[in-house]
Formats: sequence, C-alpha cells, structure tokens
Amino acid sequence: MQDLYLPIAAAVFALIVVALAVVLVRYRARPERAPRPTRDRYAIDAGVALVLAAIVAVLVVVTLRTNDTETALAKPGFRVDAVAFQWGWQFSYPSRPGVVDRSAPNRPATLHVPAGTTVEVSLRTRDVVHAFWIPDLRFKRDAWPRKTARFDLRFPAGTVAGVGHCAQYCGLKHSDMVFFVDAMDPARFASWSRMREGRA
Amino acid sequence: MSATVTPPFAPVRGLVGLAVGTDHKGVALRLGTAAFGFFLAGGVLALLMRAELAQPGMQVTSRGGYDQFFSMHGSTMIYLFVTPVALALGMYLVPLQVGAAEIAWPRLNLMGLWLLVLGGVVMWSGFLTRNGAGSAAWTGEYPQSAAVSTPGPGMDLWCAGVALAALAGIALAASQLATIAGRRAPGMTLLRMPIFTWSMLVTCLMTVASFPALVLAMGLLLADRHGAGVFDSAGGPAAYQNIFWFYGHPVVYVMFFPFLGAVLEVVATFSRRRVFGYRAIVISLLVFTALSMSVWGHHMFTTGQVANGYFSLTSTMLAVPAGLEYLAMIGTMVGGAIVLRTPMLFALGFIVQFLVGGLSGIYVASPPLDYHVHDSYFVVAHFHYTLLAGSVFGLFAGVYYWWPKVTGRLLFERLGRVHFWLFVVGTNVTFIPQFVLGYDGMPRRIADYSPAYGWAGWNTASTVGAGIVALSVVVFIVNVALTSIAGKPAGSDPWEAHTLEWATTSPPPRHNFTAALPAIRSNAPLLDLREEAIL
Amino acid sequence: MRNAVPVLAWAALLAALAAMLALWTGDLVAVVLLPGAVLVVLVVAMGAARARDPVERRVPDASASGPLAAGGVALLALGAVAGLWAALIGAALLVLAIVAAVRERIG
Repeated sequence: MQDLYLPIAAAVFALIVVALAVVLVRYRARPERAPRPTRDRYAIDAGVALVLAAIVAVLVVVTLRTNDTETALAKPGFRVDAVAFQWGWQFSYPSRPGVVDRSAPNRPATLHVPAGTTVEVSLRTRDVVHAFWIPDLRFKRDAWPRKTARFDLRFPAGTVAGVGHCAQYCGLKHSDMVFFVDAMDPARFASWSRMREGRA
Repeated sequence: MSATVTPPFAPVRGLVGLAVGTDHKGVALRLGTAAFGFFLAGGVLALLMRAELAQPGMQVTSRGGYDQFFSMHGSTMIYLFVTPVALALGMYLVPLQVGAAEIAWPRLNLMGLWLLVLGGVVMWSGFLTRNGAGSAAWTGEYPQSAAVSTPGPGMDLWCAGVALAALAGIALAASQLATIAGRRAPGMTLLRMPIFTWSMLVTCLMTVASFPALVLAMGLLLADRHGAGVFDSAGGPAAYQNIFWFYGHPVVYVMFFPFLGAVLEVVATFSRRRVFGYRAIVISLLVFTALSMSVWGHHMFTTGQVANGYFSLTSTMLAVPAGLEYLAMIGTMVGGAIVLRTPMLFALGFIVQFLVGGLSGIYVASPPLDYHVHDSYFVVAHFHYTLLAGSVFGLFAGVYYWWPKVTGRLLFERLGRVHFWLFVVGTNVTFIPQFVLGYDGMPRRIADYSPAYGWAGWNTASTVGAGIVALSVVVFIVNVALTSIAGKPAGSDPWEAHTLEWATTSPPPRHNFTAALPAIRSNAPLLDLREEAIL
Repeated sequence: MRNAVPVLAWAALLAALAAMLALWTGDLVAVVLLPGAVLVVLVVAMGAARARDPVERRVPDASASGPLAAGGVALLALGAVAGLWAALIGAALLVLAIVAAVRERIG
C-alpha cells in the first residue's frame, strides 16, 4: 500500500510545486507585457477530473482489496485474549489456562506470542475505549465497551522485542499504557509454554 | 434599493454600542477580534504542550493538567478561532461583494456574535472549577467524557460552551445565506457572484446542515452526564461518535473553503486576470462540500463500528474536486502578470502547504494505512498542515488583502514578508518531525514518553518550530499596531481588484455604497470597467 | 426560484450519497444522519426560493435583542450545569429579546 500511495503523493506534490515555480518565473509581472485575458477551457477541467477519477479508482480498488485481506480471519492460530483497562493491559492465552500477563504499576505487561504463525486476538475493554497498537506491525484496533474485536496478527519470524501502546485517549494515565511484545521463535516459545504451565 | 434607519435605535456609541450595534461590518470586526483573542489563548496552550513534550519527563504540568491543555487547545482553535473567523470573513465581505447595503437578518447575526463569545467564556470558565476545564479532547470522546470518567462541572461547562458555539455558527451562516438569496444587486445573477461569495455559500450550507448534529451531541452528552443513561446501550458509544463526526468532518471544510475562496480572489487580483474556469470552480465547490458531508466515518476506521469501505471510497473521491480547485488556482496564474505582494505570498504558501495536508489526507483515507497512523502524531501533522499551514495561511492572505478595505490603511509590506517567511519556516519545522514521530509509533494525546523510544530529538525540533510560529504572530501584531499609528492611507482600490467591495470607500460607509454601483455584467465588474476604459 | 437551484442540486448530491450508504450498511444511526441533513437543506431551498429583496426596508443600527437572546440561550444551556434557576432566567431573557425585536420592527 505504501508502495502505491507514497509515490503518487510525491509525484503530485512535485508536479504542483514545479508547475508553480515555472508559472511564477514565466508569468511574473513585466512592464512590457500585459496579462493575457482569461479564456475558460472546460475541456481541460474535464480532462483533469477524469485523470484524477482514474487515480482515485485505482487507489480505492487496491485499498478495499487490501483491507479485506488484512481484516479477514484466517485459519485458527495461537489465541490471545487481550483486555484493556484504565490503565493497563491483561493478556491471557486460552490454550495455556492460568497463564496471565498483567500490567502492574510501573511494570508493563508483556504480550507473549509465537513468531512466524497466525496469532488470533480477541480484544475487549473493561471501561472506556482504548486502542491496541503495535507500531512494528503497522496495525491498531480499538477496544469498545460491550464489544469484542477479533483480528489476526502475524509477527515476523525471528525474535522480535517490540512495544505496544494504547492509542486512544483514555484519561489520566493514557501515556503510561504501554506493553511489551515478545514474539518468540519456536524453541523459545516451547520453553515459555512449559515454564508458564500451571503458574498464574 | 433603499434602506431606512429604524428609530429610535440610532447609532449607539461606546461600550453599549459594541454590544448592540448591528452593522455587519462592525459585528464582523468584533467577531474577528474575539476569534483572534481565542487564537492567542489556544496558542499559549500549544506552546505549553510543546514545552512539555520537548523532552521526556514532566517539566511544565501534571498529566491531568496536560489533558486539559490539549483538550482546550483543540476546542479553542476549532470552535472559537478558525470557525468563527471564517464566518466573520464572510459576514464582512458577502454583503459588499453582492452589492448589498446590509446583511439580511442583522439581529440574528448579532445574536450569533454573542453566542460565540459567551460560548467561549463558558468553555474557558472550566479552568476555574475544581476538576479543571473539559479534558476529554475536543471531541468529547465517549465514554471517556461520561460523568464517571471525567467528573466535574468543567466538563459540563465545556459541553454547554460547545453547544453555544455551534448555535452561533448556525445563526451566522443563516444570515449569510439569506443575504446571498435575497440581497444581490440588480444584474448579479448567481453565476456572476465572486468566487469568495460562492465559497461562503457552500460553507454556510455545510454549517446549517451539520452543526445541528453537534448541538444534538452536546445535549445528549450533558443529559448522559446527569444520569439520563443516553448512551447506555451497546451501540451507545458508537452513536455518539457517529453524531459527533457527522459534524466533525464538515467543520474542517467550514474551516477551509472561505480561505480557499480568499486565496482564489487574491490569486486573480495579483495575477491581474479573471479566475480560470469559473463554472468548473462552482461545480467543484458544490461537489466537494456535498462529498465532505459523507466522509465522517473515516475518523472511525479503527473502531470496527462503521462501513470502512464506503467511507474510504467517499474520502478518496475528494481528490477529484480538490484537484480542480488546484487547476483553477494555477490556471489563473498562467498568462497573468504576477505581482508578489504579501497577500500573494500567503496565497502561494497556502497552495503548497495545504497540498501536504491534502495528500496526507488521501493517505489516511485508506483504512489499511490508517490502521497504523490513526491516533498518532502522523494524523496530528496531517490536520495541522491543512488547518495551520493551510487555512491560516489562506486567512492571512485574506487579512493582508482586505485589511486596507476594512481599515483604510495598508499593512507594512516588509513586516508582512518577515511574518510570512517566519511562519513558513515555523510551521514546517513544527510539523514535519511530527509525521516522523507518528509513523515511528508516538501516540497522540500523551503527556510524556520514555527516553528509550528516541523521540526526544524530533520533539525538541518541533518545539523550536512552535516558538518560531509564535514569533511570526508577534511580527503580525507589531505590524497591526504600527499600521494603526503610521499606516499609509489605502484609497478604495489599492490592488486594482475585480469585485464590488473595492468600488466603495475604505472603510465602507454604514450602508456600504453611497455612489451608484458599476454595471454588473460578469464576476469581475471592476475589471470590466477598467478594460472598457482602456478601449 | 433560481436561487434554489444550487441548494437543490446540493440536496440531490447529499441524497445520492445517503442512498449509497443505506445500501452499503445497516447501521441505523449512520444511515439517518445524511437524510436528516437533506431535510434541513430542503428547508433552506424553500427559503432561498421565496427570498425577495424588499424595496423599502427598516434596518436597525442597533438592537438589544441580539445580546439578550444570546444571553438567554447561554443561561438555558447553563441550566444543565448550574441548576433550574439559570434556565429560568435564561428563558426570561429570551422573552425580553423577542419583545425587544418586535418593538423594533413595529415601533
């Protein structure tokens, strides 16, 4: 998506800036030259409108297709139940009963996930709207009262230690609603599973 | 047409006159002055925020204090500065541009001024209450804005103040629509109206069509905060957001189109040519504004509560009429004899910098891209490019252009150029770092951040930029002050402009035109006169 | 009548966008907002169609009704915060404002 939008934006910006620069130099007031009377040429307007509409059509089609792919729920993966609250996070893992990662004052929670496979997240909130954002994955989703948001994530293979933020203003300690992300390769993931079994 | 003065309310002088005078020009000046005062107040809040964020750690205020700062900064700039000043510009100019002696519905118009002022006072009085001013962002995000999450009278005062400002907008827009409908001079058909008046027509249509939603949202929120359980159902919070953003998107266009119109007028005058593609501009104004009423869900892409596809489609379609407006601006300059006086400099700044905001807007109109940058500093940079680096540049283009008409004196050129260049440098140094920060993962509305993220450098740069912006505003104020003492008299038409407001004295008399109007045969009557005189 | 043309055109655009949204989603709140706006715009169109420039007009130079009405509405709004007494004073101010306006028109 970036590869489509950014070049088009850069090209449009460059086009306008260059056009302006050329026009400002070429048509600067000079004592010997009077301005040319305006002649409306609506064919030009129509042409520009058509070109822009074509670009818009391409952008929209690609966007809608990509959106469908990104938000589709794939085959089952490692499940995470995420709960946001004022002001922290709680992650539990249905396939690892009793294992809970929870924020404590001055100690952010860590989200433990396997790298390289699908992770299914169910996101809820206990109070106001929060947002679950992992910048490294370029994805966020809101947590809304009385609703469960479901989405799939895929953490790149290889251990990734990243951060997550709450991106939806939620009151006094919104700034502090950080969580860590530990995406583990299969070996580490297996040993984490074993270590955490039976412990809350 | 004639107008008789109604006895016994002859001109009232002094402080009482400030309250009750109905001359649209006086009311517009009072509204513009009040709006500018709110701009300075909101700007102080911005400087406090930037001072806090320059480095990790809390140096300036507490988390709770910061929450009030950013909520009131956005609220002040949107409800109390840019929207009112846009409507004030129209209030002053539309009757003149259509050749009317007075605005239609002057009492309603005057009520609008006072609703706005009182709304601002009510909103800001929240700072004096025990929990401080409204602190649920400028949007009153629900359920954060519910009584349990944001208790205290300050938040209630915020709701009431916002509702009053919304009612003000509706009253002001209605008067201008009535003026355009019923007070045009003979010969001024709709398709001979100046482009600025057309931009006010569509602005006022959006205002009356969308601002009632804000009044509704504030009324419902107040009721909910006092126990009515308005938003208790599962769909309640989403209902609030839909209603709010139904207003919240069109308002950003209310804060854009008057300045686009001003820039088109300035470009035409300083290229010494008629506007290019007048009818295409009119059509694209109508399409652009109608579309803008249908895009509000793009503020809610990450909620999972709206039809992302529809809102992405309508939002991206905005590029088409926007492109036509750009064609008009550049096409007017082609073949012209361009004079780079201060108004034209600000117009050019608007054209380039609004484009950054507009293109970043098309970017975030794509849900897959927005899922990353929503609620981050990327979006903050996007809308500051459209509003500050865009609309406010257009505002200054209009201010420097029409200042001689309003006051009878010209602002100083050299100081105007200093203001312009400081403002260009300031806005870009402030907001380019914010695109970077947002993309890198810095959320918005946070009071502090860990040094581990490496954001301090960009934040410091952004703060320096904010200081430069503040300096540029000081230069403008100095220009105004010096001009009022020693400014050069302007005469009625210092720029050799095209439209009717320049056919009367500077400043215009009480009923706008004392001499007979020139014949109106096109959208540039004064240019017609000048061309005939040459022949 | 010509006045109403751009307003009606705008209303038609809004209606088309509203229809497209109604076909796209079933969310009731979102779907009724645009049609609501269309109704408001139709009222504006009616007003635009009937607008006539009066030949002789009485234009006030000053009017107490403006600030009085604004104060009245403000106190009504504050009634939600400050209590019934504010709303009652606000209502009284509004009445005064209307009286002032009427007196100006006929006096």
